[in-house]
Amino acid sequence: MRLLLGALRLFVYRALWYWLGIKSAGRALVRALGSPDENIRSIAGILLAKSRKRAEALLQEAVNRRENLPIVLTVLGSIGDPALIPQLRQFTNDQNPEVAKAAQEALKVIESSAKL
Amino acid sequence: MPYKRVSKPIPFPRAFGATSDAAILSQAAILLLMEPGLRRNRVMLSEYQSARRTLRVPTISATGRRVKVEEVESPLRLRPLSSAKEVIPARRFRRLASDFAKKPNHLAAASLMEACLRHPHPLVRAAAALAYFGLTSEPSRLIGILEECTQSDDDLVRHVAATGLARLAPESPRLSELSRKTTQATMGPSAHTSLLVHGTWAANEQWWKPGGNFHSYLLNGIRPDLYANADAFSWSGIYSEAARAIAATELQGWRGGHTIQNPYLLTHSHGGSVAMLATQNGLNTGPLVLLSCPVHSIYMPDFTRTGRVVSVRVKLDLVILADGGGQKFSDPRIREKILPIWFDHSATHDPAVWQRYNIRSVIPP
Repeated sequence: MRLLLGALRLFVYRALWYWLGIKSAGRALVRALGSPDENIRSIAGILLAKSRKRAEALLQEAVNRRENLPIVLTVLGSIGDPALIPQLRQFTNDQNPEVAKAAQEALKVIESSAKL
Repeated sequence: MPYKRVSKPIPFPRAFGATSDAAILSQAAILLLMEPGLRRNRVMLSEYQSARRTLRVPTISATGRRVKVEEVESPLRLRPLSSAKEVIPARRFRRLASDFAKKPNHLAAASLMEACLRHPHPLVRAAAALAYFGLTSEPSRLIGILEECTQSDDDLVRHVAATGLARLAPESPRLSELSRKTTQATMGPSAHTSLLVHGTWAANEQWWKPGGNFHSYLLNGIRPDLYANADAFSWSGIYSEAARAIAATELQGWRGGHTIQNPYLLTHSHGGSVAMLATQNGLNTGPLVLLSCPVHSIYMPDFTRTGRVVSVRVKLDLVILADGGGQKFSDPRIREKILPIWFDHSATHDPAVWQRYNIRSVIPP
């Protein structure tokens, strides 16, 4: 039941942010990427990735705060916007190996998609 | 060491007053079931609610408070763990357990657990080390106990200790030794090498990595041929078709670089999509196990290149719902096992769920 409520909350956050432009709801969605529950992290990631470019500004804020950085970079990679390449490049040599790996993988996917 | 089958577990505190197999197993279970309460893990608490009730596991509030070692060692006149090995007689556990039952607080719980670290039976020692980790002021002492228990001749003791180590000290060199040993002992002429392929967002998760809880669970019994070296296959975990296509190519390349024929693939979530795509690209595999795999028409296995395909899932998986994939494969060549669990996408890589629902029996040998 707890999981169901948690997931429903994410769908509501997404609707509030995506359709009504309530930024705090979007930020709550980004915060959920750091949830200890793998289900909640996954759902938040999918909802953000499916929001495509609209999610970039929110994710950018998280990047600036280094909040949940590896998964935030993975979501940015999922969005696949080539405009993100310069920013992702900055993280490829990050001292946190998980951050560096996530940035490298995101770059690889975006660059190979751009070539197609 | 096989245990006598327990048809009726012994509840707390009575279990701590006996030394039979049923009592030892019940003591270990009670200690392990106390741990989610201390961690305030509500999911685990509700999952094991019925077992907790049967065993009358005492509940203490999760305040995050840690009990100082001196607070329990001195009153109990226990020698520090670092000194010569001390084994406590059974009657002392009975008294400590009944004290705890009368007054369920952090100090009483810590006293019982601290004493159980010196229990004559290694299963209880390992369970106590696991349960006590979040309560004692010096948890690092407990790693040594778990490491020692991984040397036991008793399968159950080894598994409990290795799972605990994987969770609490995944960097322990003992875990890599265990993985190496199993791999060396079993890899040789085996028809398959098994590979575990994680899903979206999971590249940095621990559960699928060598030493992680699910990997260790599979390796130590279900698939002893599971690939367990540090360069285990991993992909970006990015949520896009492009990322899965790249991962499928990488999986083929990885397999080619490892001279592994027809790997037995255990996959979670979109890791299954990656594997199916790889078979479409020409990868030959052994059996393919899809755990909580979303159903999308573009991801289907090339059945001429795979062994048996089995899908294990829960009811109304919420992550698959968000993904927009289907929950059920309609192709009759994919055998389905639906667990009596609702919503939880990660349940299918939970060792406790595998044990509870005997998932081993539905996956191909």
